[in-house]
Amino acid sequence: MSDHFELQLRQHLQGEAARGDPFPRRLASRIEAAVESDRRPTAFGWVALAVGLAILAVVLAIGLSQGLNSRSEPAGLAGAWDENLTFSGAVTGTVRSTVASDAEGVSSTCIGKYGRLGEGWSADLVVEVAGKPYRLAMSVLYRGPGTYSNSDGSRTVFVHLGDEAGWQTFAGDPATITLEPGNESGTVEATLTKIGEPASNVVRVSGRWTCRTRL
Amino acid sequence: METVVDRCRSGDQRAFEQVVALHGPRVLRVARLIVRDGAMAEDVCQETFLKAWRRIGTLREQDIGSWLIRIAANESISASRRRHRWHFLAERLGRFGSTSSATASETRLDLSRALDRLTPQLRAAIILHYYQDLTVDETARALRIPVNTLKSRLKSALRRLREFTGAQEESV
Repeated sequence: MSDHFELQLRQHLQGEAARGDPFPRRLASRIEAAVESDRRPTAFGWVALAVGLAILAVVLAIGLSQGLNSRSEPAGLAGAWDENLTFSGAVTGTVRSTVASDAEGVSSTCIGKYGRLGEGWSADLVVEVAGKPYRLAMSVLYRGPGTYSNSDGSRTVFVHLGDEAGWQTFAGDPATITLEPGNESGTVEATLTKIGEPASNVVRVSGRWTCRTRL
Repeated sequence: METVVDRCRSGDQRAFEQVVALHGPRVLRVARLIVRDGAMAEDVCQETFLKAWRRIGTLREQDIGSWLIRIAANESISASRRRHRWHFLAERLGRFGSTSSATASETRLDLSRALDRLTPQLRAAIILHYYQDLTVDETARALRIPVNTLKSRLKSALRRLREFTGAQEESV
C-alpha cells in the first residue's frame, strides 16, 4: 500500500529520469564496439577458466589452513561485532555485541570502508537490549573519518532504533557520531524521540560501536 | 519462431544491437538514478550490455529487459564502490580539499538531494521498487538479498527520505 509520500517519490523518480539526456548515439556505438571486440569464451577458454578456478581453490584452501584469513568474523556467534553501547530512557540496557539476525532474519550491515564523499554512510546493527531485539541504524552524510554532529541544526547525523514505530533523531535532536579511520569503529551519542509521540518519550544511546564492512 | 533473444544466444551481433537500441534508454535511466552521475551511468550502461553479451547463454527467460535491469542495478552498486576508491585516492592527493558542500547546514532537502544522501544499496532498492515497479520479491531477487533484508532497506530508505525532506509519517 502506497501512502502520499511514496506516490510523491514515484512521481519524482519518473520526472528525474525523464529530465536526463536521451540515450546518446555515441553510447550505442561504444557498446557495439565493446561487444565487437569482446570474444565470448571458446571451449579452450572454459577449460582455462576451470583450471584457473581449481588453482584458486587450492591456494585459498592453503591460505585458510595457515590462518591467513585473520580479518574474518569472530568465531562462535557468526557475524557478531563487538559493541559497548548503553541505552537509557524508554529502552534501558547495555549491548556488548550484535546478534546474528533478528526475528525477521535481517542481519547487521555496514557500509564501512565503502563510504563515499557526499553520500550516505550507515551501519545498521541488529542488537538485543534487555532481551528484546532492535535494529540500531546510524547514518551520516559521509565526508571521511571524523566527528559528525547535528549541533548546528543540520541533518548530518541520523540515528534510528527499532523498526516500524521506533525512535529516531529529528532535526535539532542532539546526535554525534565519530568514525575512526577505516570507518569500522567509532562512538555514538544521541537522543532519539519516539516517532509520532510526545517529545518526552526518548531513548539515549551512547558508547562505542564496531562493524565489519558488509553490504 | 526464433526471437531476438534466441538470435543473441546464437551470437548474432545485429540482434544484440537491436536489444541495445530497445533497452538502452531504460538501462541508462536506472543507472543514472542509482549512481547520480551522467558519465558514470554511461560506463555502467556499457558494462551492463557487455556483461549481458558475455552471459546471454545463461539467460533462461525471454524477458531480457528485466534481466538487463537486474545487471544494471548491481553494476551501479559496484561502480559506486569503485568510485569510492578513486575519491579516496583523490582526497589523499588533495584534489578534494574542501568538503563544505557536503557539510552545509540544511533544514530541509528536496527529494533529489535527499536521494543523493542515501547509500547506493538503499537507492538501488528504492529505484527498482518505486521507479521500475518491481515487486518486493523481484527487487530482492534482483539485488540478490533476502526479502526481509530488502523490506528493511526499503523502510530504512523511506524513513531517511522522509526525515531529510521533512515529510510527515502517514498516520496508520
